[in-house]
This record gives sequence, structure tokens and C-alpha cells, in this order.
Amino acid sequence: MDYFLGLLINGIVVGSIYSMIALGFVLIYKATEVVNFAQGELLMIGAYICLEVIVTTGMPFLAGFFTTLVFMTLLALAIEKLVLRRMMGAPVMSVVMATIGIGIVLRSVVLLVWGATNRPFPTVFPREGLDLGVVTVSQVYLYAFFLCLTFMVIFGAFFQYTRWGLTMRAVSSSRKAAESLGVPLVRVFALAWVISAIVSGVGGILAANISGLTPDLSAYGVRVFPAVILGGLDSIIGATISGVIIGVLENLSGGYLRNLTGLSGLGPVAPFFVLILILWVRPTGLFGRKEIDKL
Amino acid sequence: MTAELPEQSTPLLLEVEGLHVAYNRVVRVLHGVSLAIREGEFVGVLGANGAGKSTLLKSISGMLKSEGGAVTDGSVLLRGNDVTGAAARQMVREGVLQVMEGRYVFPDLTVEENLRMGAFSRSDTRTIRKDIERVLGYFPRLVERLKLKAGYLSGGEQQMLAIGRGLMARPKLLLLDEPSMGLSPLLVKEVFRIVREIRENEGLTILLVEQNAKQALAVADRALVMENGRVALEGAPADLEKSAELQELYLGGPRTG
Ligand SMILES: Nc1ncnc2c1ncn2[C@@H]1O[C@H](COP(=O)(O)OP(=O)(O)O)[C@@H](O)[C@H]1O
Ligand SMILES: [Mg+2]
Repeated sequence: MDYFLGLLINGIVVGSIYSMIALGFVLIYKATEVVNFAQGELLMIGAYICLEVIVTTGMPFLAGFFTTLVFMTLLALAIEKLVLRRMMGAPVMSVVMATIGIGIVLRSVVLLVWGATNRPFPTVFPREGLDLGVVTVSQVYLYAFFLCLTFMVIFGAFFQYTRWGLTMRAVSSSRKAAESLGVPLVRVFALAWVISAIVSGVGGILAANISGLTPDLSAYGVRVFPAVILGGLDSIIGATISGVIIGVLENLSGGYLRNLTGLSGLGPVAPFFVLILILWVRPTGLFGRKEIDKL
Repeated sequence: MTAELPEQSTPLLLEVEGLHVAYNRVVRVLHGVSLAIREGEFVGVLGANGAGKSTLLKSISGMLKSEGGAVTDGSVLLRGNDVTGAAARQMVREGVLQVMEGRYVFPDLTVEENLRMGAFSRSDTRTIRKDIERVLGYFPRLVERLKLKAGYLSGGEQQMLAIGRGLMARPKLLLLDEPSMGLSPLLVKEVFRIVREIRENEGLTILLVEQNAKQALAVADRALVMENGRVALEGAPADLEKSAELQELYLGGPRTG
């Protein structure tokens, strides 16, 4: 039972990080209709920037954290302005290739500057376990979970209650109607990239805090993919819930399959099986409406 | 010219001169369209499918570019200022707004949010609440559906929402593209009654595109008939109704759609 609860809580925490990254992914898709295959690299570079800022300048973590968010904002604006704006109206496949290209560039930069070796993240959040009665959880997990939750609530409120949040929802609902009312689409696209890069950056920093930092962190981009598809490419709430589901599934299957088969590393595979099953039954995902194009 | 301008004295609001428009640089759609609208006028544009009516509206409202179209010759003047090729964003700020053909509501937003989006370009945000009330006065059906997602509205209600949302921008010149499209005869009547009411109360200038010639001629002060990207006829509704050509083309046979 303790083993189960441990896996479950781990799953929920990792899942909340997935949720945030999936949110970033869905946001760009909803607003700009671009599937961003550089999402994993965005979160990786966020983590590296944060680490670099903390280590070289000796800034406290919080300052490094916000510096990273500023950097992510600038990076997103640059990507949107220099690459995607020029590709407006280009075939979907070319835009997808462009985002893959952006991913490769970011990854190369990281390899060039920081190399491929594992770099431990300085201890930011205490790692001692906190006794929750039934199970003991490392504090860093709790911090990560509540940070994710906070960011999700902030963005949820932004979309629901602010003028620009409403405008972003409007653009993703009907681009043409929004344009006819005088909405500057380009500014909305840029905003979507900025928010997406920020949540990815936060996700990357938290993930690195938990599992250390190598360029492999970008694999999170692939690992949230089942969450995104499961939730439906166009559903923000769907992505959030699915992120947690995938995290739990991954941890439970990883934990139990290891005991069963003696093989480790099966965890991340399980969600893909579930994904295939779900797409088989519901091609639009659990929460989505649009059919996903078979590329 | 048989056109009788009812308010000869009011100033010109819009002048379209010798407009040529092409899509994707090769598909030429308009071949020298000219028209002038005075402030407060209600002008109807009739014509068969594909005549270029929507293209004309889009080249005035700034919605042409995102569909791959461009003005290749001629000009659009608003109160004498050249606004040829201006973006929708600028035109909306100048008070020119197009309610697109095909009921482009925001299906995932509530009716109320749709209306609020209509006021996007306005700077006086404090009066938005009041304006929503005012607009709902024309469309009482929408009142009890304010919290409903627009995607769940019926076709007629969506058309009303699209028009109401346009009014939220407080335009000076409203461009209406086929508000009757796909509606039942009863709803067509209702929509046209409301459009007339809006015109009377708001002091708007309206340019209305319609295939439903009967309804359009009943509300407009003046009408043009477009054919293959040109203005083929122009005149007072009464004269046009008598015109044999129009009779044959649009008023004779039973209407579909
Ligand atoms: N976005 C577009 N791209 C290419 N051709 C178009 C586009 N929109 C309209 N057309 C063409 O322009 C012509 C006029 O269309 P339109 O202005 O919509 O006519 P109407 O509104 O009178 O039915 C048609 O032949 C149509 O096929
Ligand atoms: Mg048309």
C-alpha cells in the first residue's frame, strides 16, 4: 500500500509538471494552429539558463527563476518574429519542420555551451521527506506540485477574466471573426508563444530540480505528447488533467512492471500504449473536438 | 443615372473608384467597380453567386489580404482619405466593420463574450455593459442565451449575434454580407426587420450585400447589381424592380437557399 501511494504521489507531481508543459503546447496549437515540436527543447533551455544564472552570478534561486522567465519571453518573441511570422500561410508540414529545426538549434546550443554531462541542480528546495501520515514525500516534490498549481491557476484566471485572455480564446475559436473585429493577430500569436515558453521554462526548472540536468531533459517534450493527444490537441483543461493521468500511469506501470519483469525503464512506454488505445476509440482524444490530422 | 440620392446634402462617406481586385495575384475578380455612399445611406448590392459582392466588401473592410486577395488598381476613400489596402484593424478603428458572410461567431465563447469581443477596438471600455444592453434590445432572443456558447445557437440566432457583435464596435459604416443566407423565410423577415430598426435608431450607414433581391430592395434606399466583377445596373429600388433584366435574373423564379 505504501509502495502504491508513493508511486501515486510521485506520479501526480511529475504529472503536474507534464500538465504545465502540455498547457504550453496546447496554447500554441490553439492560438496559432502550429504543433510546436520544440516544446521539450524550450523547457530544457529554460532549466540551463536558470542553472547558469544561479551558478555564475550567485544570484538567489528566486532571482534566477525570474531572470529565466524574462529570457524565455525574449526567446519566444524572437522565435515568433524571426521564424513563424515569416511562415504564416505556409503549409502545415513546413511549419512543423521549422519547429523541429528550432528544437535542433536549441539542443545544439546547449551541447556547445554546456556539454552533455549531467549537471546537478543546486539544492533549492529541501529534499528531506515530509511525513504526510500515510506516506512520506520529499519536500521538493511538494514545492514542485504547488508551484505548478499556482501557475495553472494564474493562467486559468488570465484566460477567463482578462481582456487579452478572452481575446486569445476568441482567436483560437475563430481567427477570421477576430480579425474582422480588429484584433491584431500577430500580437496574439506572440503572446501565445510567450506564455507557452514561460510555462515550459517553469516546468523545465522544476523537472531539473527533481531529476538533475542533462540535454535529455528535452525528452519531457516527447513524454508529454501522450498527455496532449489524450487531452485533445485543442483542449486546455484536457491537457491539464491528462498530464496528471500520464504521470500517474507512467509511475505506476514503471514501478509495477519493474517488479513483474525485472526490467526498468518501462514506465514511459506505458502511456504510449494507452494513447494508441484511446486514439483507436476516440480519434479526437478524451476532451478534444477537432480530429487530429494524420500527418 | 436613375439613382435618387435621398440626402443629397450629406457628405460622402465612402468612395470606391475603379477597383480591380485579384486573388493570389492571378484570379481577377473585380474589374473596375465604382460606387459612392453618402453618410446615412442604405445601399444594397445584388448579384448572383460569384459576382464579386463579398470581394467588394472585403476590399473595403480590410479582410481581403488574409484571404490572399489584393487591390491591383483603383482606390477606396473614406471621408476623402485614401484607405486602399488598409488592414481590418485600422478600418475597424475608422468605424468600418464587416459582418462576414457565413455567420462567423466565436462558437466556443458565450454569447456575452462574443458581444464583448465586438468592442475589442474601442477605447471607451466603461460603456460596454450599457452597450450590451442596448444591442440586446434589438435581439431579445439572445438575452436568455447570454451564458450559452455561441456554437449551440441556431443559425438565425448566430446571424443575430454576428450583427449584434458588429454593433458593439459602434461602427459608422456597417458592411453586411448576406445576412439571409441559409435562413428560413420567417427568420429572413425577422432579420431584415431588425436591420431596418437598427438603421433607424443608430443613424448608421449600411452597405448590404444580398442575393435575396426582394428583401434587399425593400430596405435599401438605392441598389446596385453586380455581374462578373462589374456594376451592371444601379438605381432606386422601385426602378430596379421594374427592370426586366433584374426581374428575369433574381425576382422571377422561385428562390432557393
Ligand atoms: N479567397 C479566395 N481565393 C480565390 N478566389 C476567390 C476567393 N474568394 C472568392 N474567390 C473567387 O472570386 C469570385 C467572386 O467571389 P465572391 O466575391 O465571394 O462572390 P459573391 O460574394 O458575389 O458570391 C468567385 O469566382 C470566387 O471563386
Ligand atoms: Mg458572397
